[in-house]
Amino acid sequence: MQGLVYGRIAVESGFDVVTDEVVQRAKDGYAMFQRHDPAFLDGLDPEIEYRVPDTLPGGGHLRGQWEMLAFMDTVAGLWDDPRPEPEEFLPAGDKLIVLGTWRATAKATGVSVEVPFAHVLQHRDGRLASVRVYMDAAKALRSLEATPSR
Amino acid sequence: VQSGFDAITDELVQKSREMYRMVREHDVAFLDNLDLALEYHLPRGLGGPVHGPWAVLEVMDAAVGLFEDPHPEPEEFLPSGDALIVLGTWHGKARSTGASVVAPFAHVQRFRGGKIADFRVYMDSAEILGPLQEAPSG
Repeated sequence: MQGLVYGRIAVESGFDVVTDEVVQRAKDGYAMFQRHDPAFLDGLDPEIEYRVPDTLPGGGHLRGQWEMLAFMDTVAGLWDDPRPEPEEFLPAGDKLIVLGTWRATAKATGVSVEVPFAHVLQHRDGRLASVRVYMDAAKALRSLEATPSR
Repeated sequence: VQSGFDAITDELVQKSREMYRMVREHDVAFLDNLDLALEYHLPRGLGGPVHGPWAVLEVMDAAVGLFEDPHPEPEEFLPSGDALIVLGTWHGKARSTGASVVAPFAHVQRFRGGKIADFRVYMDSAEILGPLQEAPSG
């Protein structure tokens, strides 16, 4: 019964119902991103909406692959090897919630940082069309100013 | 069953909705729905992580000292296995500056024996704490 309800929601929202295949595609996407494989771009909707905390440099409500990549480029300019490491994939109707830890090392200070995250992913026609990022951006930003521990 | 947490049912979703309502109405009866061994994973910048219902109450009391009418407004309840994900926005008005706060959050709740035993908060502490230091616009 829940599946029927979710199915109706998905039709109304225009996003795909999350299936095992969608979960696997998301897992593959994270893996490609971590090894800097540009093939991950193939899995993105050209009109992707990407919402990250406003307090991050270049953050906010971003639209389209170009704005998303520009943001990632900004992040890569501040931290070495910034990467989301997913730990749990939680399907819920037309949304896939991914819980994990964002890891990076600040270029300015050498400080490594770990920030828990929740990503809410939505797919349209098999491609990632919406990402909402929930994380304590302040913790990540503090690493840019902190003195590395000895 | 494997995780030791309850599968999310309609009843647990309703219980979660009621808890948000009680928090909004400053009804401390919401504490009855928290497991005594609760792990409350709040960002460190917001006073976490803490353990047990009373520590949660202390965090909320601290928020009341800093903000007028601080409260989470849930918008979506998303059950998935033994996890209930709640998406919404946290609201408050900084007493020190008069600035309003509207900050998105994701809560992940897990229940044991019908009570919340694990509560994870994902939000940007800067969006909460920043308005305490900013001059109000206008």
